[in-house]
Amino acid sequence: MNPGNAVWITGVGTATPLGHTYAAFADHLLAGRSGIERVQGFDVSEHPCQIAGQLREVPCPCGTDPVEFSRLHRLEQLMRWCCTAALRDAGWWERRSEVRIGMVLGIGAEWLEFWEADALAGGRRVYQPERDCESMIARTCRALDLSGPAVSVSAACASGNVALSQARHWLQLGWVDVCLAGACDMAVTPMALAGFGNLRALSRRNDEPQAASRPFDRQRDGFVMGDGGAVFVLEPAGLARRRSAHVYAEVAGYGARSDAFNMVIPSPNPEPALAAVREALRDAGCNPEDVDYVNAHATSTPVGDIAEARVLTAVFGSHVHRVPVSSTKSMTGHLLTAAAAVEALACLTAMERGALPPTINLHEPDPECNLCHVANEAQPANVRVAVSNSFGFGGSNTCLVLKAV
Amino acid sequence: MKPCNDQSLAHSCVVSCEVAADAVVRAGPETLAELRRHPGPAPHMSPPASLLKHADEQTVAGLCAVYQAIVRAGWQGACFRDWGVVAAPRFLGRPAMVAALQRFAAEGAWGVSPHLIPHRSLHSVSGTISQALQIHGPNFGVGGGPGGPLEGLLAATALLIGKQLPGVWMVLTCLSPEGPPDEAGQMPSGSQAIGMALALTPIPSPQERGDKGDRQRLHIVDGIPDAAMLARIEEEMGLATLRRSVGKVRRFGEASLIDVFAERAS
Repeated sequence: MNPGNAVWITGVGTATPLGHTYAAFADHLLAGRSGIERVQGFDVSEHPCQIAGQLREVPCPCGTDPVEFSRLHRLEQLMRWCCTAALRDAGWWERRSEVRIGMVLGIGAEWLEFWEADALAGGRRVYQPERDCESMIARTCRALDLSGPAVSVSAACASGNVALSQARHWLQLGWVDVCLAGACDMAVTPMALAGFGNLRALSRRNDEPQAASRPFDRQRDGFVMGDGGAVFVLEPAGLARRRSAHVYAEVAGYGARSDAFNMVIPSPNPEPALAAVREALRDAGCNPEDVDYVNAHATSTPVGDIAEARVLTAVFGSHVHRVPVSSTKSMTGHLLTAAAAVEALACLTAMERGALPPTINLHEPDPECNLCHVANEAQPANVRVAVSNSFGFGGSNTCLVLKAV
Repeated sequence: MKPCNDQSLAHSCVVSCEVAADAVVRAGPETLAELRRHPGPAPHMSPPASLLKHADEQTVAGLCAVYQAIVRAGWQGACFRDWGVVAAPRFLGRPAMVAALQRFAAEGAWGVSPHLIPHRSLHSVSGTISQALQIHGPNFGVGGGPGGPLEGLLAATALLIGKQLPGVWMVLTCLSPEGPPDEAGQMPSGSQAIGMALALTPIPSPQERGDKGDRQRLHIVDGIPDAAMLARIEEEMGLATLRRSVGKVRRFGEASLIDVFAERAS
């Protein structure tokens, strides 16, 4: 990697079940609080899983007409909130007309979520293709008055990592001066909760919502869905330096490989995921022993957590018992398309606050997940290099390496 | 990473790649049923029967287009293990969603098929193609709406150049015309599923090219795909307003991307 091509994160915007600001998110994450509750907003009495991490209300960004904002689909509200907050945080909001700002967001099922919300409210938009003339990302780009290209991407739960990687490429290719990148999802809907529930992927620990998401624990029984998103401002290191921007981290490395095995079930062959992690470390110019923290994909499913533990053991070798690992899905739930972006934010939290977020509900570690767990309580640490794994439906295995600057 | 610099566009950032193979498949409901069982034109191009059982119509058309492109290029037996797959479906799953909404209304939560999300999300087309061709490089979906083809070309080119892959299958799919599904959730009457596959590869050096002739190229100028490719996509996929609608979205006023490209190139 040519140091002249380095890409830095200079702004963040977020809303998750743990808070609507980065500060609130970081506080709750390090306090080990769960954002999981019984689902509100629709009847779940017939659903196999009745719990989730929900965003009840998305705040209206300052300067936006609240009436107009209230008419938007919740996913679009979330995109606007996160993008606006990130640009303000980076100091680009007032100067956004001076540069070409692009946008790459992980958005996994925009139209399905939109048609469902409309139909459940009595609409018939799914029957009216002539009215579907603009995507949410295009509208968001226009509403925020951004002049660069905008793309929505999806690799299921790995989408946020794909978005960050694409944005990094765009900046390195010179297509944009600055790029928003991240992912948003509002997947806790009646049909999605039912669909994942019927897939038998979700926890049925309905009576103990805050104990339901328990990655790496022997008693885990599936994941818990969550709403939320995180968007970052990325820019070339040179530009950030010239304007003395606050820098969160460098997007230093990325790896991606596909299982080519099954649309839903992770491959029993760890090789593709292993190759993705190794590729990311190589891209970042890091050795496994350089890594200070791993934010695991670990969703709290019986099969997936073991598969990832095997991958980490293979990557880190004897060092695996010294590299702290946690899964913040234990607190946020699994934010699906937005998971990787929010977990990148958890890595920034570890770097900025000098503390490792824990895996809560980890009281009886699965012996097949024999890792250096950050169990139940945050731990102080100096994190210079953080790795975030994200794997998804469709067989996508991705790994992101963030470095402190 | 070294963008390919075209001297005629010295003031713009130009990235170029080659379209090494391509094909378009158009299929109505009856043809799709057959393609779902036998998507490949050659006997060895037969993924497991279960792969496409629950797949969307657009996924079937997209995979068939890739198989057709392989045959047209004489690449049967070639290995695509390290390639990437980028698929840009357009309004994927609309007919299936009609059926799902009706079943949900009638049966409640237990009536929602567990196949709905895995096979009708933005990444479903790329994931299925990756599995069918045993491609272990990156795969992801792009776009999903009106500007999907343009978004797909940007993302696929950035992936190809940025990750230095041997190639990327760029797959565009849609239903055309995009009419309303019937109440049973079937494809609109008279509509076809269209799949267009482009094999994007780095531009070879003259030595690598040997006696092979020039192939079509895709240029991205400052993040805007060239007009010739967009025009071809419009024509092949029946998307008459792609350039104009995308031009509006990108804040180029009423100008089409042809105008924008010409302006930047001048």
